Amino acid sequence: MLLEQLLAGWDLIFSIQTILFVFLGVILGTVVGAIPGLTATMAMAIFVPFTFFMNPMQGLPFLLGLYKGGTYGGSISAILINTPGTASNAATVMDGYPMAQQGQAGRALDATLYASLVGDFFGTCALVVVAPQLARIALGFSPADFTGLIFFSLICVACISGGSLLKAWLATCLGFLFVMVGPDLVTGQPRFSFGYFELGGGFSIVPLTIGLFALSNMLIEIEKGAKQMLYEQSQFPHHGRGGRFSPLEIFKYMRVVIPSSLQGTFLGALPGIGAPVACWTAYAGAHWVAKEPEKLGKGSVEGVIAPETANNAVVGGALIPMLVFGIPGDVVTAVLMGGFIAQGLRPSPLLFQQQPEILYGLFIGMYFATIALFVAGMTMIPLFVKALRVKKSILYPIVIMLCFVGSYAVQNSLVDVGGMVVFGILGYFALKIGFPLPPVAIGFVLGQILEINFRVSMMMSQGNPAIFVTEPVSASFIGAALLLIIGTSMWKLRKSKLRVGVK
Amino acid sequence: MKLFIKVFSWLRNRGSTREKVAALVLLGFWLTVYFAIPSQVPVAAIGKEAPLAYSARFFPYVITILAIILSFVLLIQSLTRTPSAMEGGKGILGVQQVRRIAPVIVIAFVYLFLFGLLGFIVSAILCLIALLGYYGLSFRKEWKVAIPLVILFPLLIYYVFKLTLYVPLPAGILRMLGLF
Repeated sequence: MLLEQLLAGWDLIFSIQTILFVFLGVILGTVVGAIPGLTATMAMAIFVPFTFFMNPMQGLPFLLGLYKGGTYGGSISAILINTPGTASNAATVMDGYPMAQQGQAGRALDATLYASLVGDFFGTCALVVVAPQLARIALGFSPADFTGLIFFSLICVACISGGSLLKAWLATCLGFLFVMVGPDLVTGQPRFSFGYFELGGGFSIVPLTIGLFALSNMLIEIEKGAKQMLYEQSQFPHHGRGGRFSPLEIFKYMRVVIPSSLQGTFLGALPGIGAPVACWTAYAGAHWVAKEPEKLGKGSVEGVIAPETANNAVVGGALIPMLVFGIPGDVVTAVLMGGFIAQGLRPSPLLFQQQPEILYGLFIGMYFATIALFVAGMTMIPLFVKALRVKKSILYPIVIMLCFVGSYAVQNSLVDVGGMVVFGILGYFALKIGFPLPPVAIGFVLGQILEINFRVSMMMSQGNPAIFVTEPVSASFIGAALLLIIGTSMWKLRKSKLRVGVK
Repeated sequence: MKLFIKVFSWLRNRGSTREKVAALVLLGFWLTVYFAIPSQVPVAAIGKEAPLAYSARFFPYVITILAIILSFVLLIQSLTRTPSAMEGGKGILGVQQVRRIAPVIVIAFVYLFLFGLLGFIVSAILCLIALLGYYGLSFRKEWKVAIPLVILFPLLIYYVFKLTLYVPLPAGILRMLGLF
């Protein structure tokens, strides 16, 4: 059955154009991921509009390639210049840079590539096997069950995303508010339009994410005074690549690879957790399972393998809740959902029932992306390293220009571009005062689904809120969410008391 | 009045200024949203008015009330915690920082204005010149990079969007001149 579905997907997706788009996505994603200051989220936000008028079997694999390349690319700068390209590669610095300083930059880069491939393959297999089964279960969910599930997801995002709990909840509320601007889902009447026709249609996710994640980061970078080259040649510790790391050598480190793959996939599937938590968890776990744990932090290849395996396993994991429930596993998948919706594919269990060939086609596309990552990683490291040397004075104006064009492409409207600039300024101030941005985007994506399921549940129960506790699935999710709130609050309180105690 | 000044001075000297300002701004914002709901969220007159729980106003009220409570708690926290205990953030917005980002924001809004007037290509060329110049690219020394970038990049984007992605970007004044 699975094989038949995959073959049907293969028939739909296989073409030279698709393969080329996947390669392009992987290369662009790797370049963007490798450059500190640019992130996979930013790349996704900017390039989603490029796919609007593409065939879904080309546009979506392109975006998936971008996701995978962006996830892997940050390890290059982490190893070579002691600066992770993205937050999810932060743990790779711990051993990657010391390896480069010891003349083993090439060995570190190779190990990272093969670890990424294994983690990526594992995550994709988990997605292919788990998602359809979960979708079958989810088809039996009532609107009340979905309400409970989304409520639990939002609490996960707010509690586990790190930083201030209060600010994360406020950021989620802001995301909810933005999605409430526009026509009411049931009555169709405009909300919060303030008499402006332009606000009557509401905000689109694409300008919101471009502004929040791309333009705001550009403003933060500008604030630093970005007039110098990204790094100087003299900073490259050793030109020699040292000994190589062969592809088969990765199998000697299965005691690190397997737990890291499992951690990455599982944590990726939990909403709001994402790759940064997964890679640090895997790095910490490596201290227990590594062959030579005493070498971790001093240039151990296991210290590079663990976080990068987990980091790339997150990709498949994060797509599980996104495709099955329409709940993004992390902020990149929240932006990726915009690409799906633009193609007329609203992720939900019904998609597995009504258009399974498209989903299985995308699963095949993900395997194409894994192969593309392998080829790109083997042959294009010098190109990616060169990307680190592009002057910010050239790169950043290009990124800003792409932000404008991408926002305009959504609805051919300057209102979207203006909105993007406003969101960018808002995002900049939010970052300045310590407000996390991912909950805003996830609140925006989930707010609408939560509201419609809630209101339908209330109509079904004729206004009786007991429906959320009498339905067992809904009650379980709400109970779990409450436990998470209590547990996280107590943990944070204990942490702040310990900090005061230490002082 | 004296009591008010005393309380104000006491509040002013406690906690983190950045956090206090953020909490007050948020509180003001959410209170404004709350009072705007009756006028901005119409309830459809379809026969008997729907109970609040499934009306269009329910979620806006829930979210704004929750946000008001959270903003208030944030304000209390900002007064009772030391600045170092408040997590996150990259520092207060200073004059130097405003000077660095303000030109980019001004360029962005000027670009928006020119886009409608002159079309994508001309406005993009002007915007790129402004941004590259602001970023310190010397057009005199690096003209071999600057000129192709400023002219070719907008043209490339125009054709990629128009021919490959079928997104028409307005040619504006260039079409009027018969060049596009």
